[in-house]
Amino acid sequence: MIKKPINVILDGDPGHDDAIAWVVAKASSDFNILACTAVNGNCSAAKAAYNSQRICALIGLDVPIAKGQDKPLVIESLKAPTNIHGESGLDGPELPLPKRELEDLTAVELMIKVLEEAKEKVTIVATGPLTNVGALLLVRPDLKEKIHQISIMGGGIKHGNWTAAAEFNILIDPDSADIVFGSGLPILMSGLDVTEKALVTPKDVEKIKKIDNPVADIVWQWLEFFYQFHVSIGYPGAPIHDLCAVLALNHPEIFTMQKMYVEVETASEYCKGATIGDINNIAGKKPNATVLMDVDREKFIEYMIEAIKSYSEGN
Amino acid sequence: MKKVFLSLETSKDNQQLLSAIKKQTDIQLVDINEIKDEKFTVIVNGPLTQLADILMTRYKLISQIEEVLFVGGTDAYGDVTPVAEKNVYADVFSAQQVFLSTVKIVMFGLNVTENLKNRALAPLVYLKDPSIFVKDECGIYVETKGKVSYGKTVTDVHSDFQFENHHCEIILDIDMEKYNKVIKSFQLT
Repeated sequence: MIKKPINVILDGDPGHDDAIAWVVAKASSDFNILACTAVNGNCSAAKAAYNSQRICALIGLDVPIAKGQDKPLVIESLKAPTNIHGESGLDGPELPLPKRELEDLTAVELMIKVLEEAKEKVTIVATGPLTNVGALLLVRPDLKEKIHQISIMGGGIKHGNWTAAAEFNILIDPDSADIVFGSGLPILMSGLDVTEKALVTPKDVEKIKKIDNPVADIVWQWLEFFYQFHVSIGYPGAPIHDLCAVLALNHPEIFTMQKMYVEVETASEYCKGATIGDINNIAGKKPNATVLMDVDREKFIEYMIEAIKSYSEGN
Repeated sequence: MKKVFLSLETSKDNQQLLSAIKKQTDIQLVDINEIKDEKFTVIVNGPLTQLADILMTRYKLISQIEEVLFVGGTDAYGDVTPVAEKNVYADVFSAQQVFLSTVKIVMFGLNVTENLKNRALAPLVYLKDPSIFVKDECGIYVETKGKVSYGKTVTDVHSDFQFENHHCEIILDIDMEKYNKVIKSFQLT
């Protein structure tokens, strides 16, 4: 039996780990990519859109690309950090120039168009703040029936990173995240619980260096750039957070997952933006999310490397 | 001789702690009203109401408290709400007052106590042999304003982000073999 590809919209703020997630998604016949939408997060929405265009040029992904709004839905934007992804949001090696213009639509309009035209349900892979997805669900709740599920990188049940309790993507726009988690749609959540275990080590990078194709040549340089920051704060490698949200869809077997009720804290002194997960089912509410808690790191790296290798065969 | 002030709610578990502590020849229980200028340790298993009251009214005592051994809170998951533990949730405001003070607090949270037969005994075992406990220095605050995080003991022990204030220690693991040996030595019935 031939597996039907999963229709996806890639929504992110690339970003080194978003970029790698997209590289892997494009390489696999498991996915049918319909559009890319850029969101304000790791860098401004404009930079994220430009980076999206260049990534698409690199990996030969010819789909519509659109830019999201410049700030979160309700609150002001935090200043994007430049020590993790650099000034451009995707510092490191020089990428090919854009091959395809940005759409004359906003990110939300492009999502609406794609969903309206879709004959089958679409999965949204959201690897940045949830501003675009939140706006989509607010404006067109009727399109929920066209969405199969939302696979997000964001949050953390046990802890945060940007504050003690909150992870960056959710902290940037907690109100959008609250809309998404409260939407009733199935949420597949790759939070820090799993993503901080999805580490690429210098040894893995050496393996990628040996692969002879233009994508591999960029990816190993991204990784080298990306793990400098993480190694400087004590990690043994770089967590490829966003790739979890892709591999969770086509290789769920390499993850440990737990269904639970997750609610986003939007009004709090220390916990704003925290994803509060009822891991022991204390409140007795029906689970709204499947949360990734652990990963088989070796397999995770194997799938990543396999995808990068496939670009040698004229993907 | 270690001087210990107990702030406990009435319970079977705490009754057991009381009888175990009375058997210890190296520990002397003290009455908070009779303390002069000597150093002492505080053990709390219950809401932090009484300790917060003491810190508010008799703040000269703060410099005499060597450490507060607090049974309660959690590093992640709660038992009353998804993130709040019973002893903190019972009086969130007092808990926050205590954690905002400058006293050193060692927190025996749900993350390590949920598998203990009687968590009230953990601080006493700690006084007998602290090396049995794996702990880390950290900052802890109590969320008093949250919609869903109300009553959470927010700690920076797992996050990249670090609080400025680091006067707490959180217990992360217990050597259960050694722990049970010490419990046995209490000869509880």
